[in-house]
Amino acid sequence: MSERRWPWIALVAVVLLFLFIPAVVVVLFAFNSSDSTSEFAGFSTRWFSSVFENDEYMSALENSLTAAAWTTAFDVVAGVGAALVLVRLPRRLTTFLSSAFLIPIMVPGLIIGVALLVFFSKIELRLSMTTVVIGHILVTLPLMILIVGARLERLDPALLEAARDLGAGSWTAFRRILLPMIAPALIAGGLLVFAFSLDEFIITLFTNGGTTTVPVLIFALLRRGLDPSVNAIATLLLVGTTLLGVVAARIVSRRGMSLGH
Amino acid sequence: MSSEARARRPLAPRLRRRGAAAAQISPAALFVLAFAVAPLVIFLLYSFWKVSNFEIVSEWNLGNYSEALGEEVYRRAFLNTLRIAGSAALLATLIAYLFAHAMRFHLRRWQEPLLFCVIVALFSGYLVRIFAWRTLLGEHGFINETLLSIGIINEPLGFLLYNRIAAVVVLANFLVPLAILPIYGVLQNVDEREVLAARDLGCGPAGAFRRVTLPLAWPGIAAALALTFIIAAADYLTPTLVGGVNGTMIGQTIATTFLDSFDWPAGAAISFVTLALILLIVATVRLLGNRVLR
Repeated sequence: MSERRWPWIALVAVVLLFLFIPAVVVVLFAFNSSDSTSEFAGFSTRWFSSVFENDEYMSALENSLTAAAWTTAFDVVAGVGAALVLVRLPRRLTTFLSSAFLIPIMVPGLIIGVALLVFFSKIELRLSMTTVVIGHILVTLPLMILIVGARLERLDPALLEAARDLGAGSWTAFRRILLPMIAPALIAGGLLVFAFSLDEFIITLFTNGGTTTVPVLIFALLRRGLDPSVNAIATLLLVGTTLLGVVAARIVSRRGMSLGH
Repeated sequence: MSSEARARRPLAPRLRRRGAAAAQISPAALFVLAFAVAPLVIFLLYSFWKVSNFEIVSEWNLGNYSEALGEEVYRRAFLNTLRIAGSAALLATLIAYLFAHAMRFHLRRWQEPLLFCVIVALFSGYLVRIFAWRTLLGEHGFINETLLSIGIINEPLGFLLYNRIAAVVVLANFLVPLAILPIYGVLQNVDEREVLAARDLGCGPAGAFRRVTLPLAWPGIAAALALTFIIAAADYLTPTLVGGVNGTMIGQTIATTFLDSFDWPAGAAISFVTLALILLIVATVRLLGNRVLR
């Protein structure tokens, strides 16, 4: 069959080109020395310096990192707690509760965003960093529960029972036995959640109330017209989320699978 | 130890454990209840209220729904959404299927690195990708300037951006990696010996594909179609940034209702009609597929 592999190689190459062309264009023009967005004149880092000198950019970057940090912290604690309970419950109850936890990602982000806007105005909660973080937790928590839950399901319950039989209290058993075993899933989940939070746009558009994050700022700049420094800040965002995603995927596929038993 | 004490002993830890379980699940459960269920319920209530004298009053009525379903502007936006999101979902799923098929059956040695590429693509930003297409396809964009400088064209091509086709291509671009994962997942369970057996029993390559591979892959394809359609049908960014006038979608209608105007009850009704339509279409496609491919 080897002579018939060429069409498939060509197909895969074309699809990969299609998938990566946007990212390549953004990164390329972020390093362009002229302010044209159509012609590459030469290599320069001037757009990155202009990002780091611009207060608007830096405060958006700070907001994004703050929101991602709070989101990740909450998700780690709440996600582990929920996953621990979900794997122990009877199957039917688990199915019901899991689908309840999935509501925030089954409903399109736009509708979650506008519903939150209405809700916050109804309960008179002023839009701020708090409301931004609430939105980010909503769409990332299900992911965290799924990742930690998948790891817990592959663990041998006998290990915990053995620890208890040998006299460990439930806190000791959790800290000494369970936590080290779910640590890879926790780290991977945390990185993914951080990346998703950095990239979240549509809900934040409605919940930010002036606490501008990087994606919201990029959107505002695009409406003002093309400014080449947008490419530089977009590149920073791109590199950040991609690195986080890739490291998380590595952890899940390597360690997560093989240490299961 | 009396028999009473022995009977009671397991009960105490069990009760304590139940309390512990409640404490463990409550942060997540209360959060989802407070910030997903409650807002959606209130949002649903709003869709039956109305605005009078610039204030939202809880006068129950179905006016918002009859407007959302009846008015020409909305009907056109729904139809356009259906057309664009439907095409984007089909295109993305088709590309994803071909890619996953190639990866699974023809380029097996490169499965790992290819899957890695897909994951990288998945994380290369939603907003960033959409905006990159403006740099590529715009009037003074990369493609136009290149064609101009080579001399193939004398004037920038205006049809590259701000229309329905541009919206479909841009949507498909960020949906493809999402669609590859479920399809690749089911293709991994397709046993090649079954395909070979079908060929031995006289099926052509097309017949074997139709009768063996496709029914086995259908759950993954259906999942990919549903996922991509749901995301595309409620997208706001793509139609706003690259859609132009004939690429208007319902997501823009919803967003502008909440960003620029205060007729929130009307916006809520449009949102729920959108949700209902999306679910209806996803369910129909799944049912049809199940029936045809059984």
